[in-house]
Amino acid sequence: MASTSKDRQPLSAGEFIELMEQTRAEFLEGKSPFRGDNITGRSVEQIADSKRKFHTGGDPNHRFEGERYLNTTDKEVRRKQLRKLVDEGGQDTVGGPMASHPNLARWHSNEFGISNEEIDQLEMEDADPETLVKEGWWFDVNRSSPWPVAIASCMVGEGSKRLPGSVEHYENVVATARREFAKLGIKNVDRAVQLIIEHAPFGADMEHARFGEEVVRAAVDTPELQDEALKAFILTMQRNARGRV
Amino acid sequence: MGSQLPYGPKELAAAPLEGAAFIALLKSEKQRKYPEPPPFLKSLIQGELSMDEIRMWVQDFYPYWNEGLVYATGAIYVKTNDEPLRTHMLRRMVDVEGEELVNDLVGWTTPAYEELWLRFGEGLSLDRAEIIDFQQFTRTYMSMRTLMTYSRFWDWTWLDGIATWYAADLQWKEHYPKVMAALKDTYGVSDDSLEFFRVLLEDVDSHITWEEEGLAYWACTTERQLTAARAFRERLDIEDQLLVALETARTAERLPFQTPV
Repeated sequence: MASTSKDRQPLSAGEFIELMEQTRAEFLEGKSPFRGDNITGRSVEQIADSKRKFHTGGDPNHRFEGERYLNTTDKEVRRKQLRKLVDEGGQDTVGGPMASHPNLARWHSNEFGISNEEIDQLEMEDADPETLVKEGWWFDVNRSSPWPVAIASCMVGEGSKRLPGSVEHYENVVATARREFAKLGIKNVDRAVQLIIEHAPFGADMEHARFGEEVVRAAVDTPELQDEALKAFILTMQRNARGRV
Repeated sequence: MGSQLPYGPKELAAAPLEGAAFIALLKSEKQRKYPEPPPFLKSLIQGELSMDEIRMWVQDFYPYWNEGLVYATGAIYVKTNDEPLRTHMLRRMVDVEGEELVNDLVGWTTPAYEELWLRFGEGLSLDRAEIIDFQQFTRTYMSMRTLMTYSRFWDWTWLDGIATWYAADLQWKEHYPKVMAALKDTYGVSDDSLEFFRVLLEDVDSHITWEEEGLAYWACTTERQLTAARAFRERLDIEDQLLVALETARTAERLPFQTPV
């Protein structure tokens, strides 16, 4: 007789996180889980073109992070998610030091010769069709999934910053970016690298990674939620993989 | 838009108002529809309520500050793709959920509106459990849910949403100073217990200007103005409806329906 969900027991939090990491390792087939492998060997024009592509169709950050916030019915977790929204939507909103991620992305682009007026125009354009459906799915998973699953989906990107070797990797990425950008003649290197720093484990992302793990440990606690969280985890990795979806 | 027939070529053929004229129109709509406070608040301001009736208001309104406004505010934020306006919205979400949320960044300590409302209730000798466990009047509940769902889905656009915030802010700015004064001077509520009103009114003052600027700039077509003005009126209606059951409860022979347990 087939087992029913009533018969199934959830994995312990530790076992489930181990399963996620094992799934990640198998998916990556030995490749690094970290970002920043495209810092070297590109011209100013090539970087500017990739930035233009990034801005086309607008910035999605507030949409998926906001969906997670709206989705969460646990008040304490919801407020932690709002604290994360402040980090990403701009600590300067409340008088803190850091600009919003969309503005940091603009700083980066500005240093590569893209004006704010051009970015405004790009943000009004249609999104690239592939981006449309990948982001469309991403908004949906954060909007339609149970909130523990929505927040657990951050374990792919931010969650990778918890992994061994992450700090060293991103220190190296930032140092390399500084050197490369200076070599390319970028005037304000500090401004150009701030977005990279913010997404490094010594920026806000480590705190966000810990929050994601905390939620997985505390709230992804039934077989059904674990199934759904693992599915979202795999789909998020697929979405992030270049040229495979 | 709720269930209304869409505006057609005739309505949309008119030129849009200039920004300042559109803001003036919204204000005049408020004056036209609601020249006076909702009856319950009017009675409160005039010193006609019993303390039990004020306590009932605290109980009935707790879900609005705890859930309705929190959700409705976040729902408009999620829809807003203009960074400068969204930044103001994020600031407002922090106001509603409690400035203490960013204590690590800037040292602020003001708690959430719902906590301040509970403290207001405690100042009226209510226990927290008496407030939290109250079965909200059905009319209040339905008004709150309307605010939440219209904010969340297609009924209101992001810009309509700003018009609804503006409507509520104008409403609060007009009535709550008088409410606060009456609570203190007529009903003898201690100053400490009225922090909710001071915080809310300070927050309102910090938001009205950008709301006006945003509406004046972005409501730049006839259709946007028509839908934003409708949403503005709908929010005024909702704010009024939120207080209907309380007025009924104190004036009718039987209590109005309450939500089931």
